[in-house]
Amino acid sequence: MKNIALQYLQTALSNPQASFRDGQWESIEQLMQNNRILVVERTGWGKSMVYFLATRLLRDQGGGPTLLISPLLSLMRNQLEAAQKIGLTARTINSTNNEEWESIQTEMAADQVDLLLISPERLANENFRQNVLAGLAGNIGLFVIDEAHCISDWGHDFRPDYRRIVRVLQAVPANVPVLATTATANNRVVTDVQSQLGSDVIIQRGSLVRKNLKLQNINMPSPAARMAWLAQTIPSLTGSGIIYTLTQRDADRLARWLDINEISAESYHAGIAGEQKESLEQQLLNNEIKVLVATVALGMGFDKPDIGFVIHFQRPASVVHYYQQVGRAGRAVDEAYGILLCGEEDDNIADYFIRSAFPPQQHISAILRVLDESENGLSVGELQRVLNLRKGQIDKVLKILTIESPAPITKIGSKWQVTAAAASYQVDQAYIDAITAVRRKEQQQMRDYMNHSDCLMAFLQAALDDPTPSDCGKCRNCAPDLLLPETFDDELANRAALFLRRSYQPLSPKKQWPAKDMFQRSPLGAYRIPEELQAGEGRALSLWRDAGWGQLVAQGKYRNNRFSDELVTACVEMVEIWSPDPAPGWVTCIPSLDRPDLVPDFAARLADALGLPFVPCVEQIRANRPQKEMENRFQQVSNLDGVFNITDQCLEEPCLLIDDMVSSGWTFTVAAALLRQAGCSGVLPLALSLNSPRMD
Amino acid sequence: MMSNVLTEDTQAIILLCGFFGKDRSYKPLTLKEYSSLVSWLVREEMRPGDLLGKGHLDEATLAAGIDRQRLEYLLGRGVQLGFAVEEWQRNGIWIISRSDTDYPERYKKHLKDKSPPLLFGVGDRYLLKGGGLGMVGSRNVDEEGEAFCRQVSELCACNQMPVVSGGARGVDRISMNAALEAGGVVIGIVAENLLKKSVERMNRQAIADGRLLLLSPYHPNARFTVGGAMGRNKLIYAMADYGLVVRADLGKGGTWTGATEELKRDNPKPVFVRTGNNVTPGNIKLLELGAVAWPESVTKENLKERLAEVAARIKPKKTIKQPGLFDALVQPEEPVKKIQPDGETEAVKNEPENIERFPEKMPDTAYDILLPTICKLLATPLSSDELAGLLDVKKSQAQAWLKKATDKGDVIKLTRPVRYQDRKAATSRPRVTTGDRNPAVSIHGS
Repeated sequence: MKNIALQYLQTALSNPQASFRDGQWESIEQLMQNNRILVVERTGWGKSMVYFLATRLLRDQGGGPTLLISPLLSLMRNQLEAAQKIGLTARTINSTNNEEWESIQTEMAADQVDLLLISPERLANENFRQNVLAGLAGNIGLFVIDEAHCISDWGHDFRPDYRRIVRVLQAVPANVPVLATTATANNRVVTDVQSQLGSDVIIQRGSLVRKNLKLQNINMPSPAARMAWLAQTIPSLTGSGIIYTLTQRDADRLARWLDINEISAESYHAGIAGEQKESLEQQLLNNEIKVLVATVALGMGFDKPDIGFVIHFQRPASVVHYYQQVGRAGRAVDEAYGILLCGEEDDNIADYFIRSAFPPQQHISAILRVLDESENGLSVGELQRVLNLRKGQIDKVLKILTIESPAPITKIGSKWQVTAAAASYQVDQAYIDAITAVRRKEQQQMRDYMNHSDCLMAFLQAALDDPTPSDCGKCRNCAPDLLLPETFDDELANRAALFLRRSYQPLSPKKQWPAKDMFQRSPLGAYRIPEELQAGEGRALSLWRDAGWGQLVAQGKYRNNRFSDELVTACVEMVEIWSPDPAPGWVTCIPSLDRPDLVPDFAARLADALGLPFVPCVEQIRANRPQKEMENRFQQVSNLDGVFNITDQCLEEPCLLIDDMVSSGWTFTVAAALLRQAGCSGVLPLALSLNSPRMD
Repeated sequence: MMSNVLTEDTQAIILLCGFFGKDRSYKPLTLKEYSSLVSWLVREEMRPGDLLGKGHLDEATLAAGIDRQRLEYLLGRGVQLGFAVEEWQRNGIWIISRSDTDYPERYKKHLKDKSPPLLFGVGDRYLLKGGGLGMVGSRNVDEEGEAFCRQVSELCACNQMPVVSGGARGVDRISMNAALEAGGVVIGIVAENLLKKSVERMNRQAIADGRLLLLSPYHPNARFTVGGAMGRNKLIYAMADYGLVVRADLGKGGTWTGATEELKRDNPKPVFVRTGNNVTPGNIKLLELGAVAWPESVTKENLKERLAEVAARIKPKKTIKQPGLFDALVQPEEPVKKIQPDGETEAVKNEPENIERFPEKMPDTAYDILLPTICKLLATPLSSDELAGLLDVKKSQAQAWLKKATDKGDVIKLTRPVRYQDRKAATSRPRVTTGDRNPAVSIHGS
């Protein structure tokens, strides 16, 4: 059988001389004996070849198709080609290709698919499990779990959906072979995964070292400095590469900045549609762009052998994260750079992610309580109406609760209901504390790495429990002369600072209320907001407390109790660049009973600078709770009911409607609707800062 | 917490007989087909789990007369099984097969190889011990019938007699709810929507309190079918000590079919029928067929005695057949049973793996030796701490014994606060107590 497998390998690689890598055939052999195996090998070792060949051999013996659970959107093109060469048909089912599901199901039913790829997130979807999966997995011959480190609670990348997969695996009988694969796992994670998959799991583990990678760490607190350095340095680097950022906003902004500096760049993150992502991956694979600016969403299995550089704009959460990302560089090129930039915002962001990893106990209790009190359960929308929690917070609780088994809640139709298990449900605080402590340690380890004065590669190897760490001779600390200069042009830095300041945020108008019966006091209603009452597109000058103007706004609001004249000038500049059409004829603002002067004072100065009249015709006639305490749209809109009145000073021309902060945007929406009812022909919202929860 | 690990035997039985997934290329085995496969396994001294290995299918096909491809297909549903089991368990539903040690003894004894190969359940598995009164009747019941249902259910609750019923509208629902409201124990054998029923408010509370067991031989999301509802009736009788027909339509319907079927058995359970002026002709006819009238003079105090007396007057039971080959195979790891004079079985405690090697007699373990003493001490409820003190052993040891005794049903666990009591002491002697700390099991005399 080994010879047959070898022939398939050579066919797949179109290389008659090809031979198995260490451990490849051994892994295949175990699978052919219905065993369970965990393969820990670096990206590029050829894990996919193990399941391709095993699938081929099993299919030849009349076995069923392979089910591959992977966060990948699809197999990489080179992998697909290899599969095709040995006659394997692979198909993908994920949230981006609904339209293909039916034909794939038909193909599966006709036994025409050899390998089916499904994302873990799909498996969390009730509807998908009941209606699609149930029709598919009839005779799966091999079960493959990609990125198996996600199974581990201690893994850097624990994903709740993987916990479900573990339980599925535990219930799968011994007559099904199982392959779990990962490229990054330290001992603790390997042991954990092993204990979850069953003690009879066989482990295949190889060395993680990357010989061609030159590592360098550069401490540059200011984002503008880092942007300048990137714009200056990247053109001198060979090949194309990846810049990792921690947030989607940074990814978008940085890509735009590089583009302005004539470096072809695109951004890639979870907010980008599936097909678009695939096309971006292709552009990078084909070297059509110089840089892909990505969040962790690009990761897992992305396989491009000739990546010339991986640069981190901010510090990742752990060494495992870092190594997984930086390890994408330099697999098939002689020289590649792994650069870690470290900035002043890194700790804030890391803290936010650690803090918000688990929902607080109060959220869990509140949701269980209202579900218990309800007659036949509640939908997510109904939960938002009765609880002052963000939809994201509610979703997080539902997710955490449904990965418990037995779960304290279950979904029947569209409603969530509590089960008998709810009576004794307790959050395992010790477990949460332990995980949080691990995250903090990982963060500290990254700080240590940043300041490490000996070989950087050896540090990473040791942190990942590689048995033989040794000095690489190429990193910043081993060979200082070989690396990149850490300086940048001042003029470029000034331009970067200006660019950051001009990161105006568009505010899109809302078109419907959360429900049709939101208002008792204000003369508004119906579900849709009629076009003649909608606001126009608005602008926010900055992101709250962000680089650029964000800090100055925070200072004005909380320290000086007055927004500085610099902000007036900045807004004038923004309005000029924005040049809304039709242009505003007057300025008004959102009033506040608590701070009656702050915003009107600023609005008046801005009106003056714009040469427009300031008409404070919106008045607050009822005190309400601070809008920022309202956590979801139902609460946010209810909190504004009956709060505003428009005086008869209101003019007919379009106006600029000023506020200091905007987060959900409902205040603008309600005030604009009332202004337009009073006869104003257009309302253009303008805020100083767009709130981002992370920095608050 | 209930165990989430299925034995290989159970996995194999679900693969062979279970409905899950949507692909229906081949039908899961019927009870009859499964039983013929089991007889072959018995002859070969094999277990269902052995079918997961390679190389037995040809023989199995020949011997049991089941198409090989069908067997292969069914056994090849392993991944689909994994997804299904995960779903069930997450919803608090457990699965047991005839090969599991906690499979209801009453089914094996009463239904023999007609016992459902698989049972889905929600609630405390301890309640699988069964007993009590099986209440059946049609979906439509008049006010008088409803009042009767309630009254009987409350009597049962007061006497710690489980009410066993079917979870359907009418008699089933009324008696179950009345028993739960009165603090009693209920076993609902449902034909459809196990999951949905388990989250209804009253049910989920009772499940959490350990007073309600919902059981079904069908897929947990199964919808109602007439066959399903019919098949469930014998499971109700088999789970209980006695049956009670509240209202049967003459010659038709599940109640009629179930009752007549039960009365025709070699070893029928005593079947009571509600009598009086306003009962249906069906009820009257059942009396002719061997059912007996529900005694009018029952009270809280004499319910158990009266039922036992009346049942004893029913024509003598035929001798209980020796367990068949099936039992020897499907539960070789079952504790040896000895039939006690009152017809109850009691487990003789032996380690399962020893049974196969030493079927006659095993030296007693410390647990076996101490059990009578433990039971005696637990005539009055004690905490594990108190028991450990009296026996002068470590608390963990006392807990281990208590757990074992609780699992086997010799001792019951009381809640708020947690204490343990000898089952016989707790159930056989009605105690008149006031202000008892434990409303769940106390008997309030009047």
